[in-house]
Amino acid sequence: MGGEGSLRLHPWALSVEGLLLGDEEGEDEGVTAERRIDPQVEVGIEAWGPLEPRVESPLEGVLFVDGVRRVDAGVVQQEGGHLYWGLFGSYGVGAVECRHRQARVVVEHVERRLVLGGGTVPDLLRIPCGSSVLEYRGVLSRNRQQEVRGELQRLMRDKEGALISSLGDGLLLMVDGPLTFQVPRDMPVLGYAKSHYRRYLEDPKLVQVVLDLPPGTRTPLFLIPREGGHDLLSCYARVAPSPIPRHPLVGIVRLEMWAAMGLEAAVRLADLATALIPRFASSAQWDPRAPVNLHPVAALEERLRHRLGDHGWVRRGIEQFLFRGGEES
Amino acid sequence: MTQVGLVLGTEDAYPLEFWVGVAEGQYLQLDDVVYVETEVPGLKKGVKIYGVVDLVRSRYEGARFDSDVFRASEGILPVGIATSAHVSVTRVDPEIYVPPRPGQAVHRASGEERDRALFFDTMTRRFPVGLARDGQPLWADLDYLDGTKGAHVNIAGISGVATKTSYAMFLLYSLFHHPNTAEAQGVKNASAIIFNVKGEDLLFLDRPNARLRDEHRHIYQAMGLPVGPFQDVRLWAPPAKSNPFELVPDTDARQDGVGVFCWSLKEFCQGRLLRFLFADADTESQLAYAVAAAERYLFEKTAGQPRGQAWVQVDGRRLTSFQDLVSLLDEEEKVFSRLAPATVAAFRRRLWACLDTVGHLIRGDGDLDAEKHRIDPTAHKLSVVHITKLHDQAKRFVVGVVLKQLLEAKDSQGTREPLLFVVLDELNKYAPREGWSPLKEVVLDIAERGRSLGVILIGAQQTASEVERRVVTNAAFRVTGRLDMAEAERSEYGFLGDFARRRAAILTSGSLFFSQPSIPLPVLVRFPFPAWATRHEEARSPDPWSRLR
Repeated sequence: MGGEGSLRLHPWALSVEGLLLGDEEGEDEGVTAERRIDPQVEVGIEAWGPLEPRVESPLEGVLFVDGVRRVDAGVVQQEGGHLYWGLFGSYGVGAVECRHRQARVVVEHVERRLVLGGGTVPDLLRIPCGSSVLEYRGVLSRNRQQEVRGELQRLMRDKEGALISSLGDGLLLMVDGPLTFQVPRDMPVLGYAKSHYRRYLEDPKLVQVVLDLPPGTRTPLFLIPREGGHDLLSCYARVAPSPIPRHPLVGIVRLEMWAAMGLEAAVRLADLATALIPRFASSAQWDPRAPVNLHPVAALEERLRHRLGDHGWVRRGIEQFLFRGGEES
Repeated sequence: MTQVGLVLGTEDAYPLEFWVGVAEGQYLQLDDVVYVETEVPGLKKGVKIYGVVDLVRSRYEGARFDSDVFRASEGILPVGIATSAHVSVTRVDPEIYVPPRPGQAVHRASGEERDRALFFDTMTRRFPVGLARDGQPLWADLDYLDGTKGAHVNIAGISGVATKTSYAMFLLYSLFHHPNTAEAQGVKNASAIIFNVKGEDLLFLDRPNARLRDEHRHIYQAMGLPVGPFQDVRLWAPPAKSNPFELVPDTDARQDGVGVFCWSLKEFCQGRLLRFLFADADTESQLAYAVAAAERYLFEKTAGQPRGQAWVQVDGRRLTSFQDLVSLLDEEEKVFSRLAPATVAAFRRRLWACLDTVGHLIRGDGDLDAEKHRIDPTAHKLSVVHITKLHDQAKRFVVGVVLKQLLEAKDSQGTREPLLFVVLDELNKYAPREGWSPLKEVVLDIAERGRSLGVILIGAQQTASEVERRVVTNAAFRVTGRLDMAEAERSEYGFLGDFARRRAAILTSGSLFFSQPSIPLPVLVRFPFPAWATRHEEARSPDPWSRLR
């Protein structure tokens, strides 16, 4: 490893960064403040109300795409008087195909990266870990802890994007989380956002419509302007009712599509998805994010997380590796 | 050598048991024989661990709740299916007891590997005891039957389904006819005596079974056995009470070729056989004194009387029937002079009761040729003693006397070989766990000394828990047919292990668990439909034309 012998563990990073759910961080990426959100792309503001989805022919199937990531160990690299933040991280992406009353995992990939904020970045580290050898590829990022972590997220998103481009034989593609990558115009891809960090609708009248949505309906589409012409069309939909004492946003998700596909295609896609998702709603005992974390996605996440390997075991492999000064055995 | 899966790492593997993950496109079922090879540092060749599958399970992976099965079937939840099998180890070769390691390949054992797994390679003189579930013969080691290393067979199971007697007969057939053992020392000239206690199903052993089909024949052939009836069979039945003048066998379905057994009064007195009339296990000790006194009296008074004479003369009184003897003991006071009157009265009451049940078996007719009616189990390969129709008291008398006499004969013979097999069902009646009786003593004597005397007991009973413990535990081969659930839980069936116990409750007719000292696990076997007739309808009469040549 040569000069990389100066890699050291960043011990308490673990408790904060141990397990990140593949979620909607970066939801605000690229949102421009110059143009405002336009709620009138589908109907006028006076006509805003819940919409029953119109589905002419039932879907043949749907592909759910998701990824998970994890910081295996936080590290600091020292070179002379410079300190660089870094991490050993793993992420997995995969897809579940639900078709002909059968749900099966069709793809799953796991990759590992050593993200460093600077200094000498190795091409590849081979870390012995029990019966296997884990391969971490080196990646350079900006030298801030947040950026280092964000890089892992970005890598995972890119992988998801690559996976989606390789999939899609006409099936509806539902990506867990907001859309962060471009796809061909004719690809039926939807982003499925579960958390509501940002308020897109300011008008209390419109917000009331969202809160009062009956299960299986959606709001009219609204336009989210983004930089570089990557505008989004979005709507809220209700997966399941939200009984007291839950707050009324429980059971609500936000769907988003690239505006480039055109309004008509977006309406069709939103209708299909709105009609589809209640069927896949998870139950509270299965997932703390029920009902919005859909069953196929919850199961895929669990499986991908499992594929990342036992965290304690992987971490021990890394520690041992660093302790030996980067020798493989 | 088919690889069927890998050793699981999510369940602990031990030197004596482990789990196998069954590979896609493969299967393992109960009773399959498998092996895995594992390396031991410093050892050139690996250690082979052989075992038998005793549990197979299949489950969802990725599902957390029972109701997930519905979500999976609706195509909402993606799940995987994992099938694994539990293996109980039978053999470790060489004997280094290490667990197999997770991920090691598990193979289905066939041919030589199967022989090694079940220790067949160590059996120099082996005979088939049925087909195992894989359609291959299960072998038993003659050394554990003929007394070399052990002896005796015990068969347990509820009646009807368990087919205990049928299996005992099959064992004898296999032993007497398989090329490996038919000519073996001790077996070649061996003979067997069978007490037929139920129905008349053993009266046609010497006739081929007309209902035998090709599929049955194939099972015999798979074991290397000829297909046919028993040879050199002698049938014995008690005399019919209905005919006081002539000795005719008391059988319904078959009369021809059936000998009549009975004992002469002289034999009764000189052989001290009176005790076997009091063979119920609850014989009180006081009564035993009376029996002993009467036996001594009869023995002394009839000593030195002419050979070949059935009747006896006691103090000038000529006794020509059992009734005469009962009357004598009823009237003769000096026999019981030192006993309490109540004891004597009880003795006489019982003796009178025997008159009707056993009286016709003990005779003093002037023209009786006792030798002709004496059961000599060594004179024929197979002797069947038909006691079905006798009263319980008479059954005990016959079994007790025959066993006592054959033991005495073996004792004086002084050599173990040729072997003599004794097939006795309803052991719980003849050697019950509680109490003492002269009959139980004889059975126990066979169980304990039979191995050195060359008398091999093939005993059977519905419930081993009701039979004298020493009789059961002395059996080297333990066989179990279907058992009542509660009975299967008893400690007598500890050799079955947990899984076989549960299965014993659902065994079908013709299937049994066979346990032998050479193999540390009971193995499920099925045995073929009898090649000999078991009732009149199955008996094919010899073709009369076959004699014309």
